Amino acid sequence: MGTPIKDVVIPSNAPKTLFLQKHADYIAAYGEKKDDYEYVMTEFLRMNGMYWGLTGMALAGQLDRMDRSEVICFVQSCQHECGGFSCSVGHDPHLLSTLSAVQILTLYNALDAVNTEAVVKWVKSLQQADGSFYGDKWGEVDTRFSFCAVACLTLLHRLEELDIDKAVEFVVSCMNFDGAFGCRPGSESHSGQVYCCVGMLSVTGHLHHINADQLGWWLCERQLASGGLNGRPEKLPDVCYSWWVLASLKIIDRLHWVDKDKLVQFILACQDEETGGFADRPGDMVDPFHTLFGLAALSLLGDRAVKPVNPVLCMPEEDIRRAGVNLQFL
Amino acid sequence: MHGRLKVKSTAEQQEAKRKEREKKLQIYNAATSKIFSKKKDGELDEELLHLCGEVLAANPDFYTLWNYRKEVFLELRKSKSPTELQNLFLAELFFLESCLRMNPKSYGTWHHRCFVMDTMPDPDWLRELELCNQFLKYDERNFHCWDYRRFIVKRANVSPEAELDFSMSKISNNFSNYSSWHYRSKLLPLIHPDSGQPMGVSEDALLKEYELVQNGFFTDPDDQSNWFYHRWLMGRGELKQAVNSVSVFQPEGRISVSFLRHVQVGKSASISLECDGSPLKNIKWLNHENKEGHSTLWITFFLFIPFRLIGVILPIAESWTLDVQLVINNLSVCSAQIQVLAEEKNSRKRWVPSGLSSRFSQEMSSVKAETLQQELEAITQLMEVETDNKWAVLTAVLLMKALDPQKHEAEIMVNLDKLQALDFKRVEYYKDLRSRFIVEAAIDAMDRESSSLATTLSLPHRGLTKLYHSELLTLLTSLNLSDNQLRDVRQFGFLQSLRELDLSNNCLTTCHGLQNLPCLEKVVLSNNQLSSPESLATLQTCPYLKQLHLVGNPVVEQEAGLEGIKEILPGVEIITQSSS
Repeated sequence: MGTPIKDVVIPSNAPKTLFLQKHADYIAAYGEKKDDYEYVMTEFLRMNGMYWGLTGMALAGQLDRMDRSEVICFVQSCQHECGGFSCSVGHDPHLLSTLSAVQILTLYNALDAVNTEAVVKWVKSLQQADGSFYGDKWGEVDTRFSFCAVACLTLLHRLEELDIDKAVEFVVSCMNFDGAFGCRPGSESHSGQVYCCVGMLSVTGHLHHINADQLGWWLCERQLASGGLNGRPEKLPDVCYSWWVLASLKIIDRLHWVDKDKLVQFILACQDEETGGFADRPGDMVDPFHTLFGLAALSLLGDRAVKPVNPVLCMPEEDIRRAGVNLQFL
Repeated sequence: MHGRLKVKSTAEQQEAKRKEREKKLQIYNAATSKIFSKKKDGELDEELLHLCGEVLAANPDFYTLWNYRKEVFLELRKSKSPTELQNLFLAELFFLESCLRMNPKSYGTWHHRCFVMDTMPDPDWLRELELCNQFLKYDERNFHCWDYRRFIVKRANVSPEAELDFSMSKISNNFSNYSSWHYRSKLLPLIHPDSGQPMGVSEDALLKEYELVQNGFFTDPDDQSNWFYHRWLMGRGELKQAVNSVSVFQPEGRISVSFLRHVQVGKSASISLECDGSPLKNIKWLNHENKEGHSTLWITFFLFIPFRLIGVILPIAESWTLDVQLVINNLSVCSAQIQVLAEEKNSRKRWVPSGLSSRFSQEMSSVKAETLQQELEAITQLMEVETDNKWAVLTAVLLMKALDPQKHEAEIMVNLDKLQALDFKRVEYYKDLRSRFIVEAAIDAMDRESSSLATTLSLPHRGLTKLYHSELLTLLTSLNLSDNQLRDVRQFGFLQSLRELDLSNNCLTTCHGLQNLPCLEKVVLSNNQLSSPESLATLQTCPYLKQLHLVGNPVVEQEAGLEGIKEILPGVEIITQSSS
C-alpha cells in the first residue's frame, strides 16, 4: 500500500499579495502587549522572539518604530556574569539566546553596550574536545549550537578564539547518507540542522566539505505540489522551512532548483490578512517566528518590497556588510 | 505555533477563553515568582521540584526550570539514601513520560530524561528501550525519540544487529519510513564492515539491501525514502588526492598547481617545490582567489634571478625538472614532476587518474558493474509499468552514467529531457545535471586523448546552464561556451591559462568570477544581459585583457555606458558592432 503524500491544498481565497505594512504593525503591536497571555507564556524564548520581531521589522524597513533603548536595556539585563545571555531576566544563560542577543545588538550597532569579552570567553568555554558545543553548562550537544557559537564569534570578530578545525570536524561527522545533516552524529537529516551546518561551514570557510549537488537535490525535493517546502521527506510543508531550505540552497548556489513562483504562492497564502503575520500553513495561527521566516524567504526569492537578507545570519544584508563579516558562498 | 488552526469564535466563547486565560496567567505568575524567589534563596528542595513541575507540565520548553530540577536532584543526592533517591528519580521518569505524551517534541524534556538516566542510582535501560518502541509506534518519525533511542542503545550496549532488526520491523510495517532507512545506513557499516568499500559496508550486505529497497519502490514507487536510500546504495567513491595539473609561466615566474581535492596550504599542509633536486625555500602560496582558504588551485610567484642567487643554477636554453609535492602533517600525500624548457613561456602538464574508464565513474558509483546492470534491469521493468515515475527515470539515468556514459550518452540525454517534463518544479536541477554530464563527457574525451595537452574546449549550443568542473580545466587556453544558457561565471576563476573566452549568446548579467585571470586576452560577451559598466568591473583584474566584445548588451546601447566601460577598462579594445 502506498502512503499518501502529505501536503496541503491552498484555498482559492488565500492571500496572493504581500501585506508588508500589516506584518510590521503586527510585530510592533506584539511587543506592546506585555501582559498578554501569549506574551507571558513565551518568556522562555523572549530573546529569540525579540530577534525574530526586530529582524522582521528591519527587513520591512521599519526598525525605527521599535524602542531602541528599551531593547538594548533588556538585552543588557539578560547578560550573566559568565558572559552568556538568557532569554529573559532571571532565566539561565544559553547559546540560543546568546546568539539572538548578539544579533539584536548587531542590528542596532550596539555591541559595545555589553561585555563582549565575557561573551567570547563563555562561548569558547562551551566547546568540547570533539569539537562540538554544549548549549549551556548542562551538556546538551547539537549542531544548532555549533552554528550559534561560530555565528556569535564571527559577529564579534573573534572567530579565531575557537578550535575551528575541530568544530568543523564535528559538524562534518553529522553528515548523513543523503548528504544532509542531523543534530548529532547518527541523527537523521533535517532541514533546520542543514541550515545550521551549512551556515557553520560558510562562517568558517569550509563549504568544500559539502557535496553541493547531492545536498541540493535532497533540499529541492523538499518542495511539494502545493509549492511549500517540508523539513524532511514525507512531512507537511511549513513556512519556516522556506527559510531553512532556501537559505541553505542559496549558500550552496542551488536556489534556482526550486520552483520560485509556486513557493512564493505558498508563502503568501500563509499570511493572515486580518491580523498581519504569517502562519506555518494556510489558515493556521500566526506568530513572530513564522512572520520573520516568511519575510526572509520572500526576500531571498527576490521580493523587492523586503530588504535583501543575508542567507547565513538571517539579518539585513546591509547590517552584515556594515559589521564587516566574511562569509563563504559556493 | 506549529499546526494550530485559526478558528473563528463567538464573542461569548472569546470572553470565556479570556477568563480562563486570566486564571491560568495568575497561577503561572504566582508559581514562577515563587520558583525564582526560592531559587534565589538557594532552597533546592522537593517543594521547588513540585513548583517547577506544575509549570513544566504545561510549558515544557521553559528550559530554565528543567535546569532547576537538575540542580535540585544534584542537591538531594547529597542527603538522600540510595533507595529514596531511586524513588525520586522513578517519579521523575514518570513525570517526564506524561510531559512527553503531551509534547513529544520538546528538546528540553528529552534532554532532561537523559540527565535522569545518567544520574539515577539504578537505571533500567531496557525499560527505556521499550518506551522508545512505544513512542515510535505512535510517531515513527519523531527524531527526538530516535535520538533518545540511540542514546539508550549506547548506554545499554544494545547490539547493532538487534537495532537493525528493529529498523527492519519498522520498514516491514511501512516502507515509507525515512528514519528507519537512515538508521540502516548507520548500522550496516558496524555490522558488515569492509574498509575496502567506500561506504564501509561489505558487498554481500549491500546486495541484500538492494533487494529490500527494490521491494520498497515496487510497492510504493512515489515514496522518496526508498529512492534516497537506493541512491546511497549505488555508492559514491572517495576521490584520492592527486595532482591534477602543474603550470609554469616563466616570464612572470608563476607556478600554479591544481589538485583533485581541496587543501588549505599554510597550516598543516604545504606544497614543496624542487628545481633539479634543489628545494625552493620561502615560497608563499595563495589560492585562485588570492586568498588563503581551502581550494584545489594554488599559485606562487618567484623571481628566477634572485632564485639563482640563492644557489640554484638554471641552465639557460636547456630544460630543468620541477618536482611538486603536497605534504600534510609531514607526510607526503601526492607528488608530480614536470620538465620545464627554458625557452618555453608556459610549460604545463595534466594527469589523468589511472585505472578508470571515466574519471567521474568513481564519483557516481563504487559498486560492481554487474550489480549496477542488474539494478538497471529492475528499474527498466518498473519504468514499463510506471511510465511517468520520475524517480525511476532519474535512477536509470544515474545507473547508465555509472555503467558506461559513452555508450548510454544518447539515452541519458533523452531521459533528462523527459525528467524536465515530468517534474517541472525541479526543471533547473535537471538542466544543471545535464550540463554536468556534458562537461564530464568532454573531460573524459580529453582524458582519452592523453597525448594531447587538451588546451581547447568547445561546447557551443549545448544548453549548458552551468560550467561544472572548472577546477579541472586549469590548462585550457581557449574555451567556447557560446549559445548556451549560462547565468553566471562564478566558477571561472580556476581557468588560469585561459587566453580566449567566448560567452556570446548566454544570459549573463555580471562578469563576477572572471577575476585575476592572468592570461586572458580576449573575451566575447556579445548578446548577454550586461546592463552597467559595473557588471564588467571584475575584468579590471585581468592584466592582459586586450579585446572585449559587447555587441547586443544593454550597457552599450547608451553612449554613457560605453564611456563608463572605457573608463574602467582603459587600453582594452571594446567591440560594439558585429563584424559581418
